Amino acid sequence: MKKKFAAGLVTLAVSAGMLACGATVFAEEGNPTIAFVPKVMGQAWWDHVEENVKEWSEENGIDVIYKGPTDTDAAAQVQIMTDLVNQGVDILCFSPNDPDACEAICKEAMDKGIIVIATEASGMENVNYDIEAFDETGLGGFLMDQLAEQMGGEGQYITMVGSMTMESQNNWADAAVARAEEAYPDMELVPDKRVADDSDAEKAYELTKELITKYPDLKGILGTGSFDAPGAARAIQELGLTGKVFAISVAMPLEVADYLEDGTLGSVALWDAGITAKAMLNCAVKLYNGEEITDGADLGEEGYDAVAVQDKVIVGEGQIAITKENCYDFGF
Amino acid sequence: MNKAALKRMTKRTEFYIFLVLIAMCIAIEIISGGQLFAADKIVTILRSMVVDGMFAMCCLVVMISGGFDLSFPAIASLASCLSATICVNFGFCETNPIIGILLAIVIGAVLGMFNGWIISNFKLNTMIVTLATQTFFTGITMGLLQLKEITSKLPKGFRNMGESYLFEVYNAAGLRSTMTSMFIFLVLLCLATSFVLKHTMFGRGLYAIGGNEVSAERAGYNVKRIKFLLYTVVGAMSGFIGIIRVSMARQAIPKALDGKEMTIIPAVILGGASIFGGEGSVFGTVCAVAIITVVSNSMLLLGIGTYWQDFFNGLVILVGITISAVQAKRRNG
Repeated sequence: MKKKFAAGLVTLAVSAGMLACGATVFAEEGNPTIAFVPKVMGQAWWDHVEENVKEWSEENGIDVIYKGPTDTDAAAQVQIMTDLVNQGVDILCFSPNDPDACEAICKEAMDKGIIVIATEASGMENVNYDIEAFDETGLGGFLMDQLAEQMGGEGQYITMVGSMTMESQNNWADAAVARAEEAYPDMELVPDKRVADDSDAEKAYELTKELITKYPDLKGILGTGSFDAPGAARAIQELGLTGKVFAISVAMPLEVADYLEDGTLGSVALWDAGITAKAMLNCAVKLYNGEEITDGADLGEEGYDAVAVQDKVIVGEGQIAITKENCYDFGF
Repeated sequence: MNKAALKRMTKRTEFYIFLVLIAMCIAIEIISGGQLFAADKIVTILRSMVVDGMFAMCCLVVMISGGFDLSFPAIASLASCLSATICVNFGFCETNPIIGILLAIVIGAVLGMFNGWIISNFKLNTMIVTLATQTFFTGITMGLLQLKEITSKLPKGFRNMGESYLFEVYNAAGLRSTMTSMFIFLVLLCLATSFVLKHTMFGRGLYAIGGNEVSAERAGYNVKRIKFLLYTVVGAMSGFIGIIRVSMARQAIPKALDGKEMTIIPAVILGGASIFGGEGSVFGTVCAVAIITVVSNSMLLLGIGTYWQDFFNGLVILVGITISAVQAKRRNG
């Protein structure tokens, strides 16, 4: 047992070391040196992005340095970006943990002529472009349309978020409610309006049971965090309410695959951050080659073939519905 | 019941905590219009108590010995996530979770031993030591090992264990709730803790050390060995609880238990454990965990908005601690 434990430790330590070493690569003649800085290393979401960045790198024959902090730590991320800028990369793509904290280093990078492309940072100034997979109204409305279809366009519903302070999740929930008010007059938001599950599927499960006790006629739970639907589905299944109470949220496909297959969940929503990353890289290379990005431009990826460009923000239509048909297509 | 026995009972903190629990349940039952005392609600609350209750037992024995352990959630996270990661990589636990459970216990014990070694050898303040090791263990989880979230890849053995149940109940509307088998572990741990505290030399040693370390040493207790053993066992238990939590939640999330010590420690104090050591009981602790769990599981029924939940959680703890303090003062004075 201890041997295996030790072996596991060594394997993990060595692979961590290799990751660190792999970060310093040199560009081939003529190609730009590209760095991609994720919010964090080692989360399934960003592992998927890393795979897509590698795939893009192989397809295009351009090396990409993929390096980020081990924790969603703004200071550590800025340090990594500073190192990369000083190393003299030509293109810097990143997803900031704290957009404000990145402004200074991004300004320095742009002053040096580095092309800076961000994502999930629509307020940033010192970037060439910020690319968003969807706009807030788009995703919120998308979630509501899916839920309304499952609920038959009528009944009581409530919204669920990871926490009341998570700006984006709350904005999506607001947009979903707005969409219901506009398009589904028979859908009724219950008086509690919104609950928070502390980004914990176990808490989402408990909340769902409590909600159904309090509101026996509750028919829909619209979550925006990735722990909402998995937790809610477990409660719905246990209570025997499959087909009577519906839940939806942003979620990882494999995590909810069983629920999609047995019909506890009709669908969940997602955007493919890997595709967004590829679109960012395509956009950066276009700029590097002197091309301009205008409204309706094609960034060469699905959902980004006719993007909306407003000032420094590029918005795609990257939201996708995950159903039992496609839930195994992503590998996460 | 004669007068003397009644008087003895009313001097015990647990008695008041028990009264608070009963009064609170009745109040919630009335305010929520009879939604608390329903079979399915009780089953759900008991389920919520499993992990917190087990952690509280660990916390209780440390506090009786006059120590503080802030590192148990970090140990539980590291042990359970590392165990789950190893199981995923080597294909263990697809049917039977026993290897994963043992792994988590061993890893937890090793980490606990580290705590125990520092605390017993260098006679440092336990709160400071475990504050440091908490950060250190989290650093190993996130930085050195870079453990990742495991959700859909979680071996089936864990999921099956977490999903297993003792019995099912139906509410008035015919909705089913299941009583998780993991509840057995909580009962067993409470009974074991109670037995160890009351009937073993080790348990009496903990009270003695918590009461006065020097006297305990003079009375012949091997303080160093007891402390080392204590933190090792607590570490092993934390690892076990971690893997139970992973099985119940069907996911191994390195950060899921962050800050857990901040709800468990106040609960144990609320249950009558003295922050100066030497006092505390299993019954009082279980009542206190029940209070915290009932409150947090009834916020919606009571119509308390999410923003106010922390406020009410804090208030309950404050009231409980005040009662304990008044009680202690009366006893001493």
